[in-house]
Amino acid sequence: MPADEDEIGKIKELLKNEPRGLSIRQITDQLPANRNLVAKYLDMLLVSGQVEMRTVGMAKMYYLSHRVPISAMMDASSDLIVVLDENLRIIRVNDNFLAFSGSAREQIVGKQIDQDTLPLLAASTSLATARSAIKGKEITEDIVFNRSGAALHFHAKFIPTVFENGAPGLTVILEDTTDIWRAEQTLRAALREKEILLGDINQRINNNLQLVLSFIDLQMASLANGPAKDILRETQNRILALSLVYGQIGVAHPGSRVSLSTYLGNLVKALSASYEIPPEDITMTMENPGLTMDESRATTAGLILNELTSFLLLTASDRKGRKEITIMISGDPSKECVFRISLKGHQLPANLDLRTTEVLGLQLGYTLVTKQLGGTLSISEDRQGFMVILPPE
Amino acid sequence: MDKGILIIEDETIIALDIARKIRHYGYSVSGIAADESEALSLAAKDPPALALVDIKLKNASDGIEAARKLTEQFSIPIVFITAYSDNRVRERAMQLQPEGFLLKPINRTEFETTIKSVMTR
Repeated sequence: MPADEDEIGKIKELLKNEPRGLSIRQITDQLPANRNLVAKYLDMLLVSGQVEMRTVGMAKMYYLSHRVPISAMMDASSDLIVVLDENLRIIRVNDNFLAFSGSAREQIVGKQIDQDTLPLLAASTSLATARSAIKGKEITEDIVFNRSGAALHFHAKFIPTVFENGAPGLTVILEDTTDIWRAEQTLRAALREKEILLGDINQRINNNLQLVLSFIDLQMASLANGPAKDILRETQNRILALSLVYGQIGVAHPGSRVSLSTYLGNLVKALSASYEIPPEDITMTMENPGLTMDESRATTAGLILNELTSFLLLTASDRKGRKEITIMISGDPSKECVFRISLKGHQLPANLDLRTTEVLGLQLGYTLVTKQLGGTLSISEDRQGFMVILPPE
Repeated sequence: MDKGILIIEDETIIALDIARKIRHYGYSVSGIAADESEALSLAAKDPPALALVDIKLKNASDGIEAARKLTEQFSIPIVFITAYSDNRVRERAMQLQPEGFLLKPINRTEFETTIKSVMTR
């Protein structure tokens, strides 16, 4: 009825300009229509929810509804939305759903969900979910829908709904997550590739370190005990000190914290094997067994421990009997960290000056402590070994 | 004569170093193989008491697969020696229930203890 639509349009235009509302009489005064006709049009607008009415004294004031029609809401959404009744009959679908399914509204509204009407929700699992949700519990699930050989991914929300007449129903909101899913797959593949690459780098580093150690081992086997063999052993132990850190954390996680009890414990075992000292003759005590250091600092600490312990063992190499090394570590990352390394019954030379020593191992140890870590290295009071103080991280 | 130890390692220098250590402990080396087919062939000729197996071998050969065949065909105890430290490789290797899983660079004490414990059984 174009004439009715024209009149209704004029009434809505009048109401739009008068947010406080207009009575039937005020509308009739401004339109070439009689009171009964205006009342009829207002009733139609009331029923469709486009207009609301409130009573002011004796007068009924009409104004444009502030409610947004559900159809407008549904069509504004980028999701696919379908409203079902308790028998899973389609009551309403939004434009996006129609565009996705390629159906006309009149072809599917009022019909049961099946492969023809809504194939996206026709799978038995989705139907079971819908029946459960109608009973009053919101359910979400991910749906994979195959169309023309391509897998489309949806995140579905099954929301229990009550219609105006009190009948139960269901609103299903389907978010197309295919692009997100594809992006996640790409990201996962890239991460897998990165892990494989880093694992491969780690493997090559460890293998090459082993190769260098094997070269030195074979060279040492051809030498009689003496200074040349000692130099090779020291070199080998320096490489071991570095490699043990990588063995613990790998290169895949730079910046990782290294457990000192594990790392230095392994280093001490390696030293005892290298100098052929019974493992029980090197004891390491940690005041705080949970102490960790960042990878680079731990590596330097390991090298320092290696140099100082090696020096003590080499200077006592002529001594008969057990060579008992004691290593004590105290402190925590927020405070200073103290290493005490001593050889029982041993006395360091009275003229040993750590700043001017010609011994390479001590020069390295002193430089690593003072220059690289900003700490102090001193001879212990009993002159049986060394004390290293490292500043807080 | 006692059975020896088969070394399956594609890095010749590392294999020689391992062989020297084994002999130093008083055991013999039954052979050194660089890949799976060589390992199976050596094991068939002279079944070893133990196989030390690197995981990444020559010719893209997989040490875990080689170890699986050695176990199935000859019931040889396996000790893996590998530079791979990641858990996925370790889990795959552990499915064969090896006698040991040693990481490179090899810890001498751990290596000696593992070899001696398997060989004195």
